[in-house]
Amino acid sequence: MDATVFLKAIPDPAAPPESFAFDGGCPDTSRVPFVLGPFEENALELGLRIAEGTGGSLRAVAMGGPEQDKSLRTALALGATAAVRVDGPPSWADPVVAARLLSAAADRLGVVEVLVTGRQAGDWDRSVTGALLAGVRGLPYLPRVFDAVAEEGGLRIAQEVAGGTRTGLLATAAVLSVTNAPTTILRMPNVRALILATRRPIDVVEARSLLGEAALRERLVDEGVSARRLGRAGRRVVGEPADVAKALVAELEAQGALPGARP
Amino acid sequence: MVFQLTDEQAAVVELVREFVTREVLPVASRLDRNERPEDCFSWELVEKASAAGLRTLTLDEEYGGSGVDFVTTALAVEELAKGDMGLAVVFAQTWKLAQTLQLAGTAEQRARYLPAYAADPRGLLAITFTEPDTASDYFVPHDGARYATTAVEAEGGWRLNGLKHFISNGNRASLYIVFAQTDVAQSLEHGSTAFLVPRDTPGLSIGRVHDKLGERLANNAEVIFEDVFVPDADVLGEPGQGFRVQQTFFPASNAYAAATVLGVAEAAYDRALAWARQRVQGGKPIIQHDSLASDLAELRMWLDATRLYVLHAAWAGDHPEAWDPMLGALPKVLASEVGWRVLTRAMEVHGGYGYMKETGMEKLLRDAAAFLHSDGVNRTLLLKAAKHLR
Repeated sequence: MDATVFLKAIPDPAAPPESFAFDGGCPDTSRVPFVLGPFEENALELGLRIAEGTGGSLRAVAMGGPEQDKSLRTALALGATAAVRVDGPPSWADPVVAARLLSAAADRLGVVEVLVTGRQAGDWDRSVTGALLAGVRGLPYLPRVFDAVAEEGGLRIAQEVAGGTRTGLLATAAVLSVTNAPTTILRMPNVRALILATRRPIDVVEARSLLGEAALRERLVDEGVSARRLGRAGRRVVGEPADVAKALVAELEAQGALPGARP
Repeated sequence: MVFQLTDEQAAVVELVREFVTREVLPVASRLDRNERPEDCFSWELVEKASAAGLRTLTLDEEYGGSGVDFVTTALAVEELAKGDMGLAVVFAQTWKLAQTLQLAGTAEQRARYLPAYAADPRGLLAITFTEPDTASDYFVPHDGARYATTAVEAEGGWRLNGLKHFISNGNRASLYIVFAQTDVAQSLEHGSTAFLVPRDTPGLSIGRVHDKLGERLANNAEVIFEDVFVPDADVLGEPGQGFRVQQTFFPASNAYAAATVLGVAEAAYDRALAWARQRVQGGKPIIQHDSLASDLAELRMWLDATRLYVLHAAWAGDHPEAWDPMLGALPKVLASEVGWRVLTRAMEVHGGYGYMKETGMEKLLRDAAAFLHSDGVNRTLLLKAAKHLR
């Protein structure tokens, strides 16, 4: 089974505060070392397990500048067969646009059956990319996965759910969003493999070549809309999960916060 | 002149740092506290380092290693020593001797020994210069200096007899480079020979394992030779040229020793800085007191300068055209003196806490003390360097 893992390097959370410069806008992270995000480490480990367990291959995708390359090289050192970095998206890129870019980059690496993301990025903690990626590709989305074992007919997936865990057989392409657990602690690469990985090329592709300039600038999700427009703290939606989901979608549509919807 | 790590060097440093964080720091203090020196050593750490490819870091790629240069090795030693000095010594010795074997060994010797070393997850190397009465003599030889360990010609080889002591990895190595007197009429400078001796050679045994103040995760032991037969094929270099082997094929040895104590000093400095930022006395974090802040700035200055000197020495080892023989003696002197200064002052920054075992400063102090003499007593190394001024 072939898998693609999506990686994101983030400013090192252990970096001392004086490493960051502030000019009133976004923090300047040019003097901060970047490290692979903690949940992306989990995603990479699970991606490796899936590839190894099924006799398939793993590819790695990242988006951003050269600060992302080290994480891709770690993936190569651990056994990923190819790596691609999407260069040049606006730093404010819309999450849906980002998901479309990542999806297009994955397609450059070939047909994939399983797409693996971390549960949430370690910098903004938004936890949206996996679900949006599933939406872009029209695939099922499995959140909080912590194990995936190959068996007859597919992958036995283990997930965290409210109040415990559940397992199920995945027999189709899907997006897995991986959480932290003992089974997803990233292994250490071998130093020789890491050195060899520094000599391997990373496929760098311009974002505009994947989607086009206009599409890159689309703003489909306005995350600030609810707080500003509601004029109130929010609304608590309770009930059966399916009903809650429908109510939330309706609320977001009313706020104009979903693609294609405007209040 | 570029003062920047290559991508490969940065990758090695980061991997060693991760190894230290994951595997070394969680166990180092516990191992250090064991009463018996043998119990301070950990085969588990060696095997984990093997799995990560670290044990064979300096072995050429054709044998399955990473074949890194002297600068990268020094960086790895320094980073490992931030986690534990003893473990850094275990690997610094092994890394150095693998490089020596590759430089000084014949093609036949390399083919015979290096694949076996690569394949054994516990494969460590040791070198045996030091004897109870021969120590500084092999750094600054004089006409009367001899190894008490002798090698006498026999049919097809040599018979070794004698005792070496204080040998790093002495009781753990699977292969030794042994220096012995082969012409007692000559000083060791002209009458000694280097031999390759596998651990399982009949007549080779281990004596005491020395109980040390610090650097306890490395074992130092006596190695005893009783009528040990070594075939001619295992002479390293030429008979009678042992001192030349020592002088020629260990260019970065002193830099590695320096990097070892430097790593410990940097660990102490980092702890002192973190402590100064969080410890409040006089109504503010103590780093806000000018005298203490300037103290830390001074330590940083010494560490940065030492690091540049150490890496310069390692770099010169990689570039023989730039080699200055004084670099084979002085970096360790500077690093150990600076290390001791940094350790004592970093401990003072901690106040009473620094003296308590709970902060770990006392372990670092005990470790740093090792290199005031290890790899050559400092005054002896200054004499060795001074010879090049005359």
